[in-house]
Amino acid sequence: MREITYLKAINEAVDEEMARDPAVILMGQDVRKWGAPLGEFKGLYEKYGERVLDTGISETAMLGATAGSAATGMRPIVHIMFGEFLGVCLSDIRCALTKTRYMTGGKTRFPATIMTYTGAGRSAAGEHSACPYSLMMATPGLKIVVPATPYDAKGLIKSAIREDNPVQVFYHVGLIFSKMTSEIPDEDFTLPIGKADIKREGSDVTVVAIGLMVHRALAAADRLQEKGISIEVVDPRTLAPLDRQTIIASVKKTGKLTIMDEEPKTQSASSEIAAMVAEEAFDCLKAPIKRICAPDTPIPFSPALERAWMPEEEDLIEAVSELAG
Amino acid sequence: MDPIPRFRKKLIEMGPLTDAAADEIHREAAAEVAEAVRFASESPYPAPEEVLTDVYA
Repeated sequence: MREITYLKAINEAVDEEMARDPAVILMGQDVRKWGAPLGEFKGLYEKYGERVLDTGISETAMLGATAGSAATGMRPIVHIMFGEFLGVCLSDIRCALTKTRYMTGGKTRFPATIMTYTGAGRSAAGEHSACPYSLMMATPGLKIVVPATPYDAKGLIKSAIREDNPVQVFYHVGLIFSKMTSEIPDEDFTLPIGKADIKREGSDVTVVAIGLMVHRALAAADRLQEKGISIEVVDPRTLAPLDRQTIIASVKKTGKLTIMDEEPKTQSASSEIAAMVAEEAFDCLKAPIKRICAPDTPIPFSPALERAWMPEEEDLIEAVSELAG
Repeated sequence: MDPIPRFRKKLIEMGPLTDAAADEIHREAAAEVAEAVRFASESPYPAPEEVLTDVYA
């Protein structure tokens, strides 16, 4: 076992999969010289040469190349830098990449991994801070993983690259910049896509938290424990396909649900999770579902406004205290 | 080369711009940016309620 950071986890996952399978290629803007703007692919060009491709600044062309190379035997990883830029290539994701297999009666496959920065908290303003989970969840045929720890990042990214379906990986810039580490096994390991992880067991309220919010929920859990309230923190880890069973089993145990999601509340991942629980586990609920989300606005640049915009530990403590009281 | 210096070079070569005029445009733009930075640095942070404004006209 050894300890690694989130940034290192991403690098090792891609490095190991490129070493394991010569069909894996990596493309993106500035991936050769910088290893992408935050440096998570550093050293891979030196190691794998032309299998690491610098693209032009055209997400449409990048996704076209991704779909084409995936359909013809490669296993491309494409770095679409920020969540909002997925809009530039959404047609290629929603048509070429995720519909063709279905439309050809299963005769084609698209083993592609899209890797994208998400998240607010660094004053990167509206275009560089979004977590567009729900936008991508509304795309049948696409799997979506949101790793919250270095361990989850390494295991899930390796699974995403080996997966025969297109997978969107969302990784929060706040986690990339954090000094947090996880223990990682020395041997090769992967984590299953489609399986949630209970990050902390508890009995009074289930808190489903996504991405960076997992850490805010865990911090809130310690403070709530001091007040005698025990929360169970469920990290879905995969948003599509969602692990309904694990979430429902937890709600059955606690009877109360709060969802913490760093998206504008309307039509967010939290909406889908709330609807699913209301539909499938209504009888178990002892109180209305609560959602801690961002307001329905773009993400502000000003540090003061951005702090007000992001869901915080305090917001969760308040909501859970009301539910548990 | 960056597109802005390249465009400046091209316009000078083609005739509609002179070196002196281009320098003047650059000075004006730099002064405008410096003034904006001064204004921002000297202004207080906005009140948290402002997060909800300017979404719609």
